[in-house]
Amino acid sequence: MEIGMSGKAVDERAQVLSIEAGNGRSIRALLSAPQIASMARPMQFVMVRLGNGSDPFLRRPFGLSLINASSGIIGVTWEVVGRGTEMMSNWEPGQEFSVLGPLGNGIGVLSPTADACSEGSKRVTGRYAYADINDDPKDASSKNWNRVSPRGPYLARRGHLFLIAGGTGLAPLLPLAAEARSKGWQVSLFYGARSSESLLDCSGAEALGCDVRLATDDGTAGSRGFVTDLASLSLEGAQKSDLAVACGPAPMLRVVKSLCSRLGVELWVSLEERMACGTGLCKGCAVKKADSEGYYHVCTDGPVFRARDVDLGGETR
Amino acid sequence: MSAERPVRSDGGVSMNHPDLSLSFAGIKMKNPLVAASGVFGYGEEYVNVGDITAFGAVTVKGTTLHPRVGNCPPRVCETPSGMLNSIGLENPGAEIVAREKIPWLRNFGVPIIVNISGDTYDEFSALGAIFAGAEGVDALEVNVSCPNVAAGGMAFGIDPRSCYRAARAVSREWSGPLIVKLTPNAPDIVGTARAAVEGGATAISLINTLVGVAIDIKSRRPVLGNVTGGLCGPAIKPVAIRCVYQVSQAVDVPIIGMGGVTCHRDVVEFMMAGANAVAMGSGLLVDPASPSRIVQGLERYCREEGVANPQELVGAAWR
Repeated sequence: MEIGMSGKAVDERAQVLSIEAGNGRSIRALLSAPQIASMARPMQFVMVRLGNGSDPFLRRPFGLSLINASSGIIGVTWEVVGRGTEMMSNWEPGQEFSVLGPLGNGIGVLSPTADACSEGSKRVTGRYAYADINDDPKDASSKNWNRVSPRGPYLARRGHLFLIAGGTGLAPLLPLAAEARSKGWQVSLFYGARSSESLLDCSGAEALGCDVRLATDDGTAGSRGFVTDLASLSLEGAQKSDLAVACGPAPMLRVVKSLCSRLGVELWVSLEERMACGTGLCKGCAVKKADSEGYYHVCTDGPVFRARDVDLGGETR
Repeated sequence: MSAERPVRSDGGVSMNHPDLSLSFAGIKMKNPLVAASGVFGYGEEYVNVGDITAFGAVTVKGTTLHPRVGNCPPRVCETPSGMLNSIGLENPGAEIVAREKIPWLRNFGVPIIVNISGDTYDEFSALGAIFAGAEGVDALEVNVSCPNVAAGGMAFGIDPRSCYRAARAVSREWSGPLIVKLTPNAPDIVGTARAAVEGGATAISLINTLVGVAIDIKSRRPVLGNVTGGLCGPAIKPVAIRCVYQVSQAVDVPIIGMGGVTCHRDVVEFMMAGANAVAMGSGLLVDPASPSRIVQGLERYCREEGVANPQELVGAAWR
């Protein structure tokens, strides 16, 4: 696993290729955005501008439910929760929108046997290798897009990847599952939602050879109950070297965090917070640090965080 | 519009090649577009998404004497044609800004305005002294209007007397260009502007945000962790234009106008209201690469309208 920024962000005119209703209230659009598709890592996000006018004013952040560099396609999946997502549900193929990305720290995948330090120039500190940061501003200013200093830890090799998802939190984990499988990782996906109606389609992950287990609150698909209960059984058997990544509602993340902490499994969580710019300019998307005073910012320090670094609020089950 | 502005001695100015430059309170700016405080950080994030050198000047994030971690989230909330924010002046403190942030930003060769915010007059003086002793600061902008920190700037900017004292506290220590940033929440913004100038302000910037609240109808609670936030964006532009229009006619110092600027037409409108320079705030959050386009748009406008330098437009709408 390699976790860090991929290097660039671009403001790209993305064209809607298709839009389709999924299960329940979910909608998925495929966008042609070749530059972003070629740069994005799983778990990075984009900021979508919904029009050229002043209302709605802000861009909307979305994780990528599909990243296909060779076809230049990215996927965005959402449920209608407000004005912005409602407008997006009226998108039509051929329409173009400004999409800024890829943003934030993503998770890159190395094959389990690869040496994390063989990629690029990195300085090794203990278990982690850190990319050198070249912050010479002379080569940093350019026209439309700029290099982002590669940052953050590149994790050393791992064994088994556990993915825990709730609701639409599944979407950004799908490219990670795909990439991990393609590099020969063993992947278990635990996915829960209120009912079968609200489960996103995860047949793609199954087809790639992920071990997919479902849970619904009402038992209409998979086992009845919480996805965290489902995941706990498997995580009991995890090795110390295994890695878990979770994305979903805060209560779910809190339970997964306490579970992994008890079992000694390293957990990364993908967080959401109200966001204005997505690029680190406004300092709006604050999330409390776990061990010290102050805040991280979801857009530049995240959206994926090592669970023990962040305060997820009310951390008891 | 007057055509009497002296043409630069290098003869490079003509209607086909408008000169966008200006001298603002002694600061040489190549164009009148400024990055407003709070949407530009210290430039470190902006370099990833935009071109710092597109600006005539940049204003760094509100800086306090001591580091601040900022307010409880949520800190931002979209509103019709705008947004509320209550970041809470998250910043590393004046010493770090003077020692690390400014020298780095200096490399871009764009004039730097440091926005300062204090809880007391003594803090304002201390901030003035720190930046007077630092290299590479072209101007200070005194935040007498930030509505977000409970013990913070609000009171200074509301009342002309405290606005005067805050400006005076800084001007005693800092002899360079001194900008006081006014709040539209003041009952008499012209009175506070005059008081700021008496206190030593050599320029005025306006407007800061308007205080607002948004409520989440599901949780039945205010959206922002701090309950109130500052409203900015195109929604406040007419208020900002009104304030610039009134203040610029009442004082003899140059003006930076701001509030909802997203395109070159907004820049022109602010200048006609009486602003010499125009800052971009939340518009930069939405479209961080837009400044170079806005400057090009301004240049095109000048060419089409036969304007040799947009300073000719300043106060064109006064009556």
